[in-house]
Amino acid sequence: MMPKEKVRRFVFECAVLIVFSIGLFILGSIISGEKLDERIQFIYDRRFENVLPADRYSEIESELLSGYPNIKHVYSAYDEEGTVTGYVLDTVVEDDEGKTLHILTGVTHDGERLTGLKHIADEEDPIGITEDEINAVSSQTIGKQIPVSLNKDESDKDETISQVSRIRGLHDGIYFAQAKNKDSNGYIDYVEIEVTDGLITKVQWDALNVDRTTQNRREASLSGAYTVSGESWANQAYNLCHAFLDIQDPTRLAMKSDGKTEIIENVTTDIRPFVDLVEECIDNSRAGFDKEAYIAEQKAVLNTLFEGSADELGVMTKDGLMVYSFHEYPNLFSLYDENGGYIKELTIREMATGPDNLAQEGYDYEEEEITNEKDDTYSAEDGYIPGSGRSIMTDSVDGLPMSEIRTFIDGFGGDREHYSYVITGINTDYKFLKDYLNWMA
Amino acid sequence: MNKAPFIHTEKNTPYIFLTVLASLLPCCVFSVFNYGLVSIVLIVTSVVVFAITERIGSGIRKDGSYYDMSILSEGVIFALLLPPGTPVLICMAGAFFGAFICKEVFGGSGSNPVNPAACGRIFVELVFPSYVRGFRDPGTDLLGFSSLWNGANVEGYVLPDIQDYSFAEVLFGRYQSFIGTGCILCALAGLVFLCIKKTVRFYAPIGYLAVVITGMFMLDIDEGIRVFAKDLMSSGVFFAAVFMLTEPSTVPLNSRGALFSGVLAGMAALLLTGGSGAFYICVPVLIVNLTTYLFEYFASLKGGGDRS
Amino acid sequence: MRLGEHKFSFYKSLLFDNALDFSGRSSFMKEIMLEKIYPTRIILPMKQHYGSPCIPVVKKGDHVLIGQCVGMPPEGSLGAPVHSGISGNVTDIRQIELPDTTKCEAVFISSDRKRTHHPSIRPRSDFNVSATNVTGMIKEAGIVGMGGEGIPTWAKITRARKSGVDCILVNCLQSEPYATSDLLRITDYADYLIMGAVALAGAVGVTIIECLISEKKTTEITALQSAMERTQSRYSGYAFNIRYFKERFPQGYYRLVAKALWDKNLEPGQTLEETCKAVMFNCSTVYACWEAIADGMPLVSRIITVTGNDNDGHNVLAPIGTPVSEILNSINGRSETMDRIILGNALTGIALKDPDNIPVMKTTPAVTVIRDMEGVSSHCMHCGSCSRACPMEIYPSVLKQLIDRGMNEKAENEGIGKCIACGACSYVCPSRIDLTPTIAGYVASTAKRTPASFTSSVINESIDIGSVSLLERYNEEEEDKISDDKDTILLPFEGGKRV
Repeated sequence: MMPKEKVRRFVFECAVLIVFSIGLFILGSIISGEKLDERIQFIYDRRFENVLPADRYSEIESELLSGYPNIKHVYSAYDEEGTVTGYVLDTVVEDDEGKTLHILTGVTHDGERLTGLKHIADEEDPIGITEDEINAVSSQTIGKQIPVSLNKDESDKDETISQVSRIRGLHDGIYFAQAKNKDSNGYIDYVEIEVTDGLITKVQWDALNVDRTTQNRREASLSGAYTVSGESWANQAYNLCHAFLDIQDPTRLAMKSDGKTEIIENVTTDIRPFVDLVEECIDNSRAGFDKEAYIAEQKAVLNTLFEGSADELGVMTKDGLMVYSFHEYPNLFSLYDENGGYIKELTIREMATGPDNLAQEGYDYEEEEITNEKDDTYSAEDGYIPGSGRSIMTDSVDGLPMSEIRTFIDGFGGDREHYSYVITGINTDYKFLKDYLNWMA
Repeated sequence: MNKAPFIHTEKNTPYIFLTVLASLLPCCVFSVFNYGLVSIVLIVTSVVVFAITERIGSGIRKDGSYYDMSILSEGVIFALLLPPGTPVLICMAGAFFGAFICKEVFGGSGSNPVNPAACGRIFVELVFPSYVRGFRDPGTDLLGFSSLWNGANVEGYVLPDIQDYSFAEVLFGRYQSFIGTGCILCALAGLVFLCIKKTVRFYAPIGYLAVVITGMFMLDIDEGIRVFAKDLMSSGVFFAAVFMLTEPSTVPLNSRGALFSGVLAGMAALLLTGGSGAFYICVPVLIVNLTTYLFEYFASLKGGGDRS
Repeated sequence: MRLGEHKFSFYKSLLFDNALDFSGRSSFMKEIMLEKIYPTRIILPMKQHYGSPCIPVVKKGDHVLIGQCVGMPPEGSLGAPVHSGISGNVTDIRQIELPDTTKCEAVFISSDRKRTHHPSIRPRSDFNVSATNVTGMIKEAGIVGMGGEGIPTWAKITRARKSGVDCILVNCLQSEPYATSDLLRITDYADYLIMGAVALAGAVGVTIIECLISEKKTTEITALQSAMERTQSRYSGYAFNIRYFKERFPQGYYRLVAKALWDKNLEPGQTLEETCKAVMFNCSTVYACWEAIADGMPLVSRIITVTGNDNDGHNVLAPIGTPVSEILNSINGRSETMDRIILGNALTGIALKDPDNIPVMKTTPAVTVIRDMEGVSSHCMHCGSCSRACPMEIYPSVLKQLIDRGMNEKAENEGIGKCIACGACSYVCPSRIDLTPTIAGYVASTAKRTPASFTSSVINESIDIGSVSLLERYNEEEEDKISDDKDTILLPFEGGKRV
């Protein structure tokens, strides 16, 4: 064997080699280090620019990903100030035969809206979706809330006539109503609806906290900071909103005097704030008093009250909503007759446009015949149709209750199955982000 | 041992393989600094599996407990050929295949017809392709080890084009590659060390490199010298040449034969250009190994010892 | 040595020269004073040369003097007489077995501690001697190739004359590890060496003298050069040259010299004389010749390197026949009983079991003591070191496999017969495989020989063809002797005194 002296020499040579390599590594890191991030961002930028443009991206390493085998990579996108503007998800959807569809999706930072959708045609065994089909889906989903479901295929349905009742006189647009006073937890409820073609197509119920550092109610509920009995408040509100979209009429929500409803599954919370606010929204819509006008009037009220702008008062959220509880000024909105007798509480709209009787008038309904498909061909994978009379709680899309579906799209011809894969991808991303954002909170 | 000669060179088998092992140090250091924990775990796992297999093999053959160090360097080479996202089980499977099927079955050290590291690597590439695609950027997630159990999330992931990297990055191995083959400078450092130590033969590597470099130059010449340089540096041919084509057992004894087999390997590498990195590096090595077999047969069992 | 001087080597490849160079491995400085040994007894084997064993010409109880002949070769046979290196009484004449398993008679002489020289030993007074006389003197002095080959020098001279060679080569290429006995001769006796070479050249009948030496032996080169300069003026008819060689083991072997200088591959049986028109003498042999011519001193002593991998080296001047144990005792070279004692150098020597009864011989350049530090052997891993180190360019690892498998015919085809048993392959084998013993052993067994060393191998190498030719030519020369008396040479004397 080697004599000791040789062994020592050999060890010394090894040490020299190691020191040399470490030196080389450090040198290499210094020389090439700056380029690395630049290059990675360049590659990300090139890949993601059509999906979610941002200043920079970084990949998220999350344990949660192990529960979503279809999601290969998730990147968060940042703006120049370093705040998260959204997420890019790299998703591969697989069909029963092992064929795959590879898509990139961009989602806003709250996990609610789709910002972009791109098919990456590098599958070994592609599902065979065409770019037209992808475009059809993306044109209908981008900018919309997720999750998404596909409306029933028009090609294979028996056309029937069904009826839907809608409130007459709604003007298209986005309408908004906000509670004047905070609740016991400091939350100020607000409801926002969107009316399209005289039909309420979107409704959102949430509450802001007067303590600006507290999350809004939906987020707080998702993160577990705000709890109610039964399902999370966010899910209940969600279910409620969808039920409402289905029936279009707050009076048909069967609210009991204690503020509860029994006709909507899993909704046990007090729905009174919602009913009140959605009615106000409907009235606003009938009066053509949109969200912009509403907020402007809120500002005006505050301005009158404090002789200062909302910005200065620091009551405006970054989304442009006012967070102020008027409970210290109980008479501010009261309308009195000449004798000083109390008539009623004015809404913000009425503050702006003068008292009206819209709230007392009740609704005018119109029955409309719409073309629709029969339920016997209904598939859970496919979409749902407003006003079809189905129970909205009994079906699900991609494991999501129908109540959670925010956007419904029509396929324009082509292979419906193809659309469904894209939608599955989007919805998988939605589910992941929901989990991820919960986990983050 | 009352037979002449009575003294022997100090360059005995363990010494030779220790020098090979030492020449691999730069690559190991780079892999550890670039990929962190997983790199250490993969290298140690591979070496341990190789060593245990050798021990069991020599136990079964009852040829004594004499240990040359070849098995260690083969273990390290195998590990260095894995991407960072390789699960530990896959590493073990490949190491076992390389050590047992390609070495012990044939009678252990010196009797193996093919390079165990190359064989093990091709084995995992063929059998578990999706588990050996876990590339990532060097210097990221140094302490992460989740990929060691589950493998990396690889589906749909495409290796960035080498030409997107800067020259310095490619030179210093700061791009996505196998854990040990990235930095050409490390392979060259190993080459210099082995040259100083004079413990291995370089005929086959010379033939191989001459053909590969020429071929690659011809293919890339239209796109410019930078493209060629980046392609060459990132191809891993120097790693194969320095550490795999110098394995004594599996390269022709005869210098002319070794040179020729190196040329064959170079041509094979050119044919495989653009293929999987593992095949690109390992298949030429196997070709040298197989020609060795033929050469040994024809060159040594027939005719005189032609050596010039 | 001039810059850019061509350096010869048997190894022709430019790339990856892997030939062995032991020049850095000598364990001692050869400048150490030469130590003389006066043994209490000597053992003189009757066969220390290539050819027929001598017949003892003394009997038990006889008193012998230094330089007295104790053994003569049979009349008309190839051999060299044996002389006593001490004065004393013959105590025994019996058969002994030499380390290379040769059995022969040996004369045992115990010293009377008087160191009395035989009256015939006196410096030469006349300068003019014929070539035949020189040859005769060398023959009388019992000089044989001292580098290890053991061919009687007179026979070599005769063969060279017959072959009509162009030059003589003085082989100063001692390249074995640790051994420096020849080199000591060169540095300390360079003048005598050159004069001896002139005498030999005269005897052979040529005028060109080439000294072959390794480029790394700078001291020896300087000594030779200055000796040449001093001698040149007196022998204008002779051309002196130094041929520089790369330090290589075993460069001194005649076939490798032929390859290095003339790029000729000598087949077994071919001789330097016929193929390359040159005759080569070891430098110690040349010196011995000079001693015989000038002093009338037969070959009774030689310089022997006593060395090893774990002791200080010594060069001793010992009477031929000194038992190995006496040499070792006199220099405290024998430290451990576990050490192996080797007659010859560490690569090509033969291990001894009984150093008390084995003497050093005319062909013994070194006694090596090796402390056993060697590892165990393992599988061949086809590294090719052996074939790269092999000076004969055969594939020892392959040959060993073939022999182990009994494929002897293929081994023969592969050139196993070329093996010169130099030991290089075993030395370099990283797996410690006994390549040399296996291959040389096979060669020996097929040729019905018993060699395991370079020495015996070389001797036997020539047996097949050489023995006949050497004898025949010698006899022819004997017949020519009388008619060829005019062929006189001027010995390098000056004014009746030795230079």
